[in-house]
Amino acid sequence: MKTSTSFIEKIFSPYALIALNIVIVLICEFLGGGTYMAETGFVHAIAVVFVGLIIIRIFSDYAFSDYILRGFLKIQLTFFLFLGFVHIYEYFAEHVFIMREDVVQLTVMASYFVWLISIFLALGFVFRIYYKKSPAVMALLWAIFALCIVGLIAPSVSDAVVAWFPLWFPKLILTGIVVVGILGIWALKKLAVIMPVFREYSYYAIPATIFLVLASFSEYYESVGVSHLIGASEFQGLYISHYTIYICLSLLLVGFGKLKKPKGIYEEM
Amino acid sequence: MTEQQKKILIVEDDMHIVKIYEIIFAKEGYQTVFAVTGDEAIEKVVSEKPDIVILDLMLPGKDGFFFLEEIKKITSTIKIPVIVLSNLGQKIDIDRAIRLGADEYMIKVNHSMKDVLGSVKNCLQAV
Repeated sequence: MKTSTSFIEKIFSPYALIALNIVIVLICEFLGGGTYMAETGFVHAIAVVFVGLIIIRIFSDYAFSDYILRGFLKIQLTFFLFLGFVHIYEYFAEHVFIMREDVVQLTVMASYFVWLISIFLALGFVFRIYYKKSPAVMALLWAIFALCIVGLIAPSVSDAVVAWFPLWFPKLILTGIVVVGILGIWALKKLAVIMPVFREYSYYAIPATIFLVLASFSEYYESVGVSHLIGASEFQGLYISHYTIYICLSLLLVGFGKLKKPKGIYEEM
Repeated sequence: MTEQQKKILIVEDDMHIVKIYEIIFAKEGYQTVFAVTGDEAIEKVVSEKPDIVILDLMLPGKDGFFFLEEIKKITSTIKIPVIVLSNLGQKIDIDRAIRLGADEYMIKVNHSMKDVLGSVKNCLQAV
């Protein structure tokens, strides 16, 4: 049992995940002349590997049962799974249900925004207890979050909703992602100071947030066809947006591993 | 009463840590009693009259700071040494706990169970 556990943990080592990302890059860039993964949509389907790894993380034994740490973890892991599923959605939307490309990309960007809001929901859970704030702050966050979810689902359900969006709407989402991303990084740093048990987690969660923001930019520029302007193939924009999100997911997988076995008294559990 | 029979009140909501405490302190011959919330801890400190308290600060309901404030108001509990073992690491929290009467402040990720045991022994010897 211990051997299988340690084998699984080896998959989550930074080296193994770097190797996985390199393999993904090599397959995308060279298989079928560098177009196969994009044309078949398998570049999205790779996300299924990450969903599997996230599920293992969700069912991992964490060293603590403290109600605050557990609350944080439950919220984060739930939405981590959601983040993993985004590109599986992209695969089905573009290659099975043949939905409008701009709608799919808008939904993906909105999903990144939802993940960033979820960081605040998890941190809000900790901060509300620490700062003894009223539940109203959390209620407000959940209300924003619910609104985001409706905004996320609605465009995929009806084209009429998409027609209602102004042309600058994707830019608004991108701006929101940058602002919430910066605030998220600040909040993660604050969390690591307040509760050092999150210090190592934050070392991975902060760069993951940066990569998520970068992935949003590449998703946006992919949708406006910037790859043509810089002379790159249309597939490169697609690949770069996926490389960045897979790096983000990898960093979070390692980060959650740091919460699985923190140092100090937790090492003796 | 010998040192080996002394009673420790452990105020902790993390059941994994509670189990470890139970094993380690039993092995050393200490008697342990547990509380999960600040309110329960106040009741236990009065009823059980422990020789020392190990206190977590972030608890469901009333927190560890509340507990520190309260036991310093009760004559029978004012002299009971308290070791804080918490996940809170800011200087402001450490200073507040010390100001409220904690004898020692330990951060969970910076200290091992051996350190905690050592501090308990030192505090009990100093009493």
